[in-house]
Amino acid sequence: MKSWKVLIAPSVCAMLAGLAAPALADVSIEDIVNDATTTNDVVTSGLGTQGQRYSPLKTINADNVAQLVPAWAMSLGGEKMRGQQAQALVKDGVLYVTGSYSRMWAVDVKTGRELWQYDHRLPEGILPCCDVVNRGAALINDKVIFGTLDAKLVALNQKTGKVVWTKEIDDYKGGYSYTAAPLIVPSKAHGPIVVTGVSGGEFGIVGRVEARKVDDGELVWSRPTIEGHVGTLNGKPSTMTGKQGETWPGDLWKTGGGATWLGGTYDPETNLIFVGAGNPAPWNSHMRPGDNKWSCSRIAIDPETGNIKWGYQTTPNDGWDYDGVNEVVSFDLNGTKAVATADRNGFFYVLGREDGKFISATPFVEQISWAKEIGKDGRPVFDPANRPGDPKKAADGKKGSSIFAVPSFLGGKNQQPMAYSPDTKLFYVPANEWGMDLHNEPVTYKKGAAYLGAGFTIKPIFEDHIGALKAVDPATGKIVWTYKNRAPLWGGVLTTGSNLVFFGTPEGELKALDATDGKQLWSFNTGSGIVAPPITWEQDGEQYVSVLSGWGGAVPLWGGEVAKTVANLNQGGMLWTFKLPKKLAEAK
Amino acid sequence: MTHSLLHRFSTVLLGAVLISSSVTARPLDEVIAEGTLRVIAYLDNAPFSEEENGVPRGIDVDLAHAIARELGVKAEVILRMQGEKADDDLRANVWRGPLTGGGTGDVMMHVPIDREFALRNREAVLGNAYFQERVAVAIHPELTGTNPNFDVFKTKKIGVQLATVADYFLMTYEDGALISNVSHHVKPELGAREFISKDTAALMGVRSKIESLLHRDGMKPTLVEPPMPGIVRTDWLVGMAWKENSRDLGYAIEAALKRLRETGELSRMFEAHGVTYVPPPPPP
Repeated sequence: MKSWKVLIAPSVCAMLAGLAAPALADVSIEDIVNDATTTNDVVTSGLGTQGQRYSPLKTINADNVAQLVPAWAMSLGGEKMRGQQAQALVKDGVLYVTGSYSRMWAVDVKTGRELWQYDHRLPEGILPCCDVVNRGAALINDKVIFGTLDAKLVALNQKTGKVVWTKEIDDYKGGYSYTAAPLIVPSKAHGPIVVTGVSGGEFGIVGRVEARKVDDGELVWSRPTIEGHVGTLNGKPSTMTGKQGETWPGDLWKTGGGATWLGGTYDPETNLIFVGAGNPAPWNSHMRPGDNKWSCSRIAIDPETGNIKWGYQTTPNDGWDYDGVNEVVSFDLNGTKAVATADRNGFFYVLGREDGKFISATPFVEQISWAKEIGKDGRPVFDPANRPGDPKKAADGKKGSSIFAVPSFLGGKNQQPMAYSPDTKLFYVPANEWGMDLHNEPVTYKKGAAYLGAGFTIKPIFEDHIGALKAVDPATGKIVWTYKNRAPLWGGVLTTGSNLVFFGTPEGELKALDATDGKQLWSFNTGSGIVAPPITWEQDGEQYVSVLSGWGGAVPLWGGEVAKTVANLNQGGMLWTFKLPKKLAEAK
Repeated sequence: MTHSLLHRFSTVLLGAVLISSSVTARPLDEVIAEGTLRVIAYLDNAPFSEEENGVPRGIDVDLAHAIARELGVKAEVILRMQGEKADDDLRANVWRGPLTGGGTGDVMMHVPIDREFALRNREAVLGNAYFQERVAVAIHPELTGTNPNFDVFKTKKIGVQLATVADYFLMTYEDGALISNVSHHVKPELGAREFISKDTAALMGVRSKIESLLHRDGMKPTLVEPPMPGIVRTDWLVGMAWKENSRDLGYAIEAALKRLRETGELSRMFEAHGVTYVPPPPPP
């Protein structure tokens, strides 16, 4: 690394004369735990730590949503566009949002004026795998905390945007980065903790979850995701994850993978942190017969100790790159404390929240081919014909026999978060209908040396759409309605107490649907693709909706027929904020 | 089209576009005019390229400087981390540049010369192979015998880097007969340590890395290449890549490389790092 980019110092600007600075109160841990029920702020990623993305607000409803108008828009500016995937946060009239290239802004929600901007100094030449995105920040006390592309965790002062502390999650030169929104969780022993995973890192590095004190970033505990590895608590070895090598052949547990790159959710009722773990290493499943726990799994962690309370594996012995990182959302299933997760592998799982016990799993996308079903024991019934084959059986240098697997490795659902409405009792899952041709490509290269590879070509299943927002009934697994979209859905979903569902499309439309039947009620063209989740809150008696627009992320990086659906989308970088003017809200 | 015609053609076509940008891969004329050849090598790839006290060193670095000297220019060597696959590295280092800035180089070192790989990366030209990499096994003969086959590792431990072709070969040998004796590492240094301390009886991997890592500890290992039935690659060529529109630069480097091979300078670069120089076999 020869040179460094010019540092743009965090600057306080636009504190214009005559504009009263909003009065900022600290964000308490109670504010965070109660976020789902308070309507005048959004202090967590997921509108509540359970991740339901439900707001009880009813001001904007099916009758008046068509009158929603832009209140203001703010450009993320500069020459830096690319994917904008963050969910914004709002507290005391200030909106905090992160953008591509590890940047953050504080914005006055009434005017859209920037209060400060922080540009993280990134080393040149780093190579994050899947675009230069960031998925949001966390508020706690007087700080706002986010992760960076060079794998730092940075805490800024909410008022000034100045750095309070910086911690290295891992060495970026080893390929590490961090893009997920950190999670703030209460603990008795350590006070509020900030919980993160890891992303990137050399192939075969073991994933882990880490908790730090929010005041200084000091590490409290660390929890590896792969069995056989020992965690830490207060700087000392704690407990082992699972049993060493129980579901791995030989010593492969040592290099098992299981990255935790999408962060997690927290349920205050059971006091558990839920985190997903990614795919196992090496790629080829024939090399590691066994379940390979806890790769492609969800794990529940005790915030006090970092110990695992339970784990559930969605794709044992993964051979399709069905990363298990998708979010775990807590909800009430007719009186049962449950969680739901919509996996990359195309199945929608409902599990017991306290013990991870399997309740049900049903397809939320069509034509799933890697498994025939999920059995009553919660294990997939594999279709051996659709497991990528043994590269040894392919002739040297030639593509081996090809199989078509559904979903594609980008998943029935990827990083874009779903929403749950306790009113309709439905989950709204931003799904994609696509499969992949998988062929053995016996050799790929890393750093000039031969490695084992797999060739993936993603293909749509239907002619007219890939994206499909699905309303899933968690009690029956039934798809109640589907809203089709030509391009893949890559942004998250929001639902409200007035039975509305908001989501954005890569084509750039922010849409409002009727939560009961999926009918479109409103749509607005934001000028670039939306790959971020919207939020809503109430400010001075008016309901606002806000979303980032800015096309990018992993989809444009993958070619094939999918690329055609997104070929003419332009980059952007705009924070759009809408409101229903008081007069119109009171009209009816 | 002859070299000189091609040269003129590409200069005319590209001169106007590229003259203002100093961090784009350039044709020969511009490299000569500026007096600098921008070479990108891997950040952490001993013995070929690594950073030592902030200075790039290694075989690829030495070779870059020698080529620049032959062209009458200076080499600016930039070390950059690797992407998930070498395809990503071609995009970042040869034809597009990293999203986070830093630009492309005129030439990238340590690129595998492989037809399939080249076909899926048409924005880059691959060539100028400068050595042959081979899969080999370092052994402690007192533990394995002097001429072992892989059956020995049904009872003795063997180290290997995860997910390499050697790894796949070992893990699938006789339907998994060796699995319990395969010791995996992510970092090659760890594999070398286990071998030196005799925690493993053998270390399988690419010859150059094994030789150089053990050389650093003053060890000259016994290397064998027993038959490896079913392995998907036992050897491959390592060369360079440059941008599709800088072909004349590639030809100039080809000529420089030929001189370095003929004078023996190239093989001495390898030997200085304890690596046996294996020249690319002559084309069929």
